[in-house]
Amino acid sequence: MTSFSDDRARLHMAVHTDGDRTTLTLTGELDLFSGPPLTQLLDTAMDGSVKYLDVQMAQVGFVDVDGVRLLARAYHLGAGRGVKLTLHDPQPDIVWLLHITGTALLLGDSTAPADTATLYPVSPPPPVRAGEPAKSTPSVPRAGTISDRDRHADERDLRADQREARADDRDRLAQERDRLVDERQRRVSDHQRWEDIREDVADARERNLERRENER
Amino acid sequence: MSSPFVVVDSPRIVCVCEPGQAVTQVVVCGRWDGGLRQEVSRVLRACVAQAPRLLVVDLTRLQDPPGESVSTWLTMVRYAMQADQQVMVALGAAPPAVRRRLSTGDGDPAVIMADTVDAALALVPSLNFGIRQHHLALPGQPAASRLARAMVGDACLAFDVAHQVYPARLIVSELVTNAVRHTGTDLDVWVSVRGAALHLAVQDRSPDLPQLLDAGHRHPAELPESGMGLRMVTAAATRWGALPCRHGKVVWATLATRAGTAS
Repeated sequence: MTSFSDDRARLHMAVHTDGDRTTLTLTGELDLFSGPPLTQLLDTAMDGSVKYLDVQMAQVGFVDVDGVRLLARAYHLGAGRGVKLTLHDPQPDIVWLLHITGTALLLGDSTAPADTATLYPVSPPPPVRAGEPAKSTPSVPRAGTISDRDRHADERDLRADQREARADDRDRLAQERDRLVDERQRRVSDHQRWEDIREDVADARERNLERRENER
Repeated sequence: MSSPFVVVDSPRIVCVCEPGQAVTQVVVCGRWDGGLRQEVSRVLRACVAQAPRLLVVDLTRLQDPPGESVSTWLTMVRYAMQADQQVMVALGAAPPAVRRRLSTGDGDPAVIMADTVDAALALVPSLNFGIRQHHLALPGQPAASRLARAMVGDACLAFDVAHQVYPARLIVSELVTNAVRHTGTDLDVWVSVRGAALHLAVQDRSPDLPQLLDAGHRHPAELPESGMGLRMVTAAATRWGALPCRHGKVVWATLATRAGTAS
């Protein structure tokens, strides 16, 4: 077991290797500034000596968009080197962030069903109950459960990944279209409200003018 | 889902936001015409969306001898009063014809008029009740986003909006990271409750709008790497936008204070 830490950035990393599987357990917060040591570690861990890199996320309380970007890059880097990177047990808010940024494929097939778009619509993240900012129960990293998986299964996985990636891309574009449509509608409705008031104001003015004419 | 309300200064409209005081000042210059009317309408809508307590419209340099702009100011006052979060509007130093036509009443809502902009701004202390606000000044350094997140988390608990802790931290973290990365200037972070909205604001000392604001619009096809931050803020916030301020700019976002309500 090798441990790394960067107290300033509050991200702790622990590496454990077993056969063709490396487990990386993260604790703390992952953001733009705590990320670089992790990037380096992921690069080293995916040197081709293992096939699977499991990142245990249960103890990560916060990931920002740069953290997601970093993990997504590592995923693609790994894919190029024949290493499958999977995030395990991230907190619900982080799962939401992965979906919203179109990177749900990092969750692997175990936690990401095919119809992610319907399960995680573009809406605010799941509410957190008061006084429960972070989960305190660490879950046991899965290790070695699939160590005997054969080459065919790997190829199947790869094809499934590619399909999922394409589906993800489609989802992302659909979400982007929806976003632009919503944005236009919101603008139109604000504008409409303004125009309605403007008409009322003009009507009132006209009525007043008429009234004064009649009084004269 | 939300849409960004971004205001960029133009030769005829200058906007100054004071996030700490929840006051925004808009200076309208030049001859009143159809083009200026449209521009004013758009900027004022964006200013109201940001939910200040007071919106001061400075008309010192407006040229409108016949007072044709009156209907726009009346519209603005009603629009601001009917907004999700009521905004008070004051007109400063309006041209004589405008003042005359506004003061005839006509059963319209009372328009606050002040002789000078300073007099209008003097209204602020009297509005200072019941505002709950946390402020944190930060250097533009890497640790800023983590400190800002901690402050936002505390503020959410203090304001009884614990269910918004995660999106609030995510949004502020993103805005601070962007400011540090693109400007590196000193920062101010404000978290406040304004009516039914949790209001988040990050001010830096650079007038340049963050790339965050543009990426998704110009290259929607170039995802995933570009525009991720924009997509996240857009998805998480009720509304968000950017306004110029005296030194630099402020990027703001709002979240509903009550669970399950989208304001």
